[in-house]
Amino acid sequence: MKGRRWPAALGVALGVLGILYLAQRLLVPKYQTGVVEGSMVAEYYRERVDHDLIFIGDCEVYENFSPVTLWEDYGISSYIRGSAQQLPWQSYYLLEDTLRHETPKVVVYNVQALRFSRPQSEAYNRMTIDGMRWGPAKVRCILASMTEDEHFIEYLFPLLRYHDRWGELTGDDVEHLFAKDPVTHAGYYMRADVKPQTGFPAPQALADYTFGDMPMDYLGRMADLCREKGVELILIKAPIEYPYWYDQWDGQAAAFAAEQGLTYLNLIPLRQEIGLDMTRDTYDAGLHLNVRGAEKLAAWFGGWLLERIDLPDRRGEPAYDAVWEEKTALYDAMKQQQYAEIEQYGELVTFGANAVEG
Amino acid sequence: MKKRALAMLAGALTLGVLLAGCGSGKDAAGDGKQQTGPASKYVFALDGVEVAVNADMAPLAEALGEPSDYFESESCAFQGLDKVYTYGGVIIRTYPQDGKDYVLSVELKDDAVPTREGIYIGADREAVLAAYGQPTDETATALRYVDGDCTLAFILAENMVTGITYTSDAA
Repeated sequence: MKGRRWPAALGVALGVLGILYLAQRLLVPKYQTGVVEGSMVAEYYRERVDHDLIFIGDCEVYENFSPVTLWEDYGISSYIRGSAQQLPWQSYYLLEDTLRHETPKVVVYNVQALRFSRPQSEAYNRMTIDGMRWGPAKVRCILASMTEDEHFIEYLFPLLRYHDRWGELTGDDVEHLFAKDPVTHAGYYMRADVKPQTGFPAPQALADYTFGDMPMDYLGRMADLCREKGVELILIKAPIEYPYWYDQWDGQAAAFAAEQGLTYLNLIPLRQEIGLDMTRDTYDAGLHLNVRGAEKLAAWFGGWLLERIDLPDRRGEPAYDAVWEEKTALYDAMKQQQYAEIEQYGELVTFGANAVEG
Repeated sequence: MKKRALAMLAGALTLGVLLAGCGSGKDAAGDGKQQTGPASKYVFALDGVEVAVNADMAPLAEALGEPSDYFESESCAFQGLDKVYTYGGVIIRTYPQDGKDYVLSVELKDDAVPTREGIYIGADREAVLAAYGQPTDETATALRYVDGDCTLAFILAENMVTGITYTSDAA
């Protein structure tokens, strides 16, 4: 009799686990419409070719550089490991995670997030961390990122965090229960609309302009890790004026780079040389570039990079050609779709904040 | 046998229902933080309206009337709007949380708007020390007073106050 109980108990246990698994798959946010930024980090693991150039950072990289342009103009295979409000410790662990999969020749890190001295927001943490593959880098990233109200176990079992999302479920949660659509183009988030930059408030005076210990520690770790792996680390500040990038911050970034033997490039004063016209090349009044601006910036930056570093032109290599041909087709199709929506409705309706989850 | 299995399954489902019902109070896509921070003795008064950091901006904006300038910017991934209200020489910045806007900082930009304790842009370092006592910390270019959820900073150049900011600990 006892012997017959075990299979039944096992069956029930597996059934319960199955239900919990399905519930978790259903309840975790899918980030497929509107706020798609939570899908970005996981998309990287679908990549089928290696990259010679990796960008790491927040929206100042994933909205401002077009990898398709870098491919079309220079044959550079690149990827942006970006996420919304990506903090320096998250950038470090994403770098560590990336270098487990491949060894690029160059890593470009955008320094804007150095202004954050401590964990900020659970919503942004989730968008960066949930998509990471489990491993030591993800565990350490969670521990470094958690705000005081967060719990590690909720990252381990997201059902514990999202169990009360029943009332918020949409068609997207069912449609993308097991598979998600790509939302980026090699990590680039595309917007084709235009909202001219008009002006920004005066910068706030700060009592202390010194970057915090935590971000500088992780920046140092990024430099060490790149050195150890033979990867050239380049620090940049994207050509975006707001949030304000203080001269004092710029000086610290430059001093760190000089001390570490790295290149630091502040792109704000180079906007004219790049050809950026902020009355046409931004979709949100100057906070981020639109696709036209991102293509201009990528074209300029690729040229600047090749003057300094010998990156291979992968065009003509069948494996790369196949992958990038596919990416370019998807990129062009989305660009045309966005232009068509703008033409028809005067604004984007299926992308960005206007998009409504199905 | 079947009854026992069904009982276990029912137990698990009950647990699931319980889990679903015990909302954590966090917005699934939101921050989850609540405005429970301690108040501070450092509060700025503008035209008789007390403006404290981490206060709900909506009633303040109503009481203060039309700002002389207003700017808003969308945060990354649509987590709300960062707003900047300018009332003459006073700039109030807000941060979004759970569908509301809260005061992130108050900055005094000219000598027409003193603090409640009478310090204004252009006052000297000694006047600040006389009004506020010893600072929580100080550097060559700033005196900082921390109380509760607010840091009041006087930024100095050649011992003269050139900037005054009330900043939330949420910053």
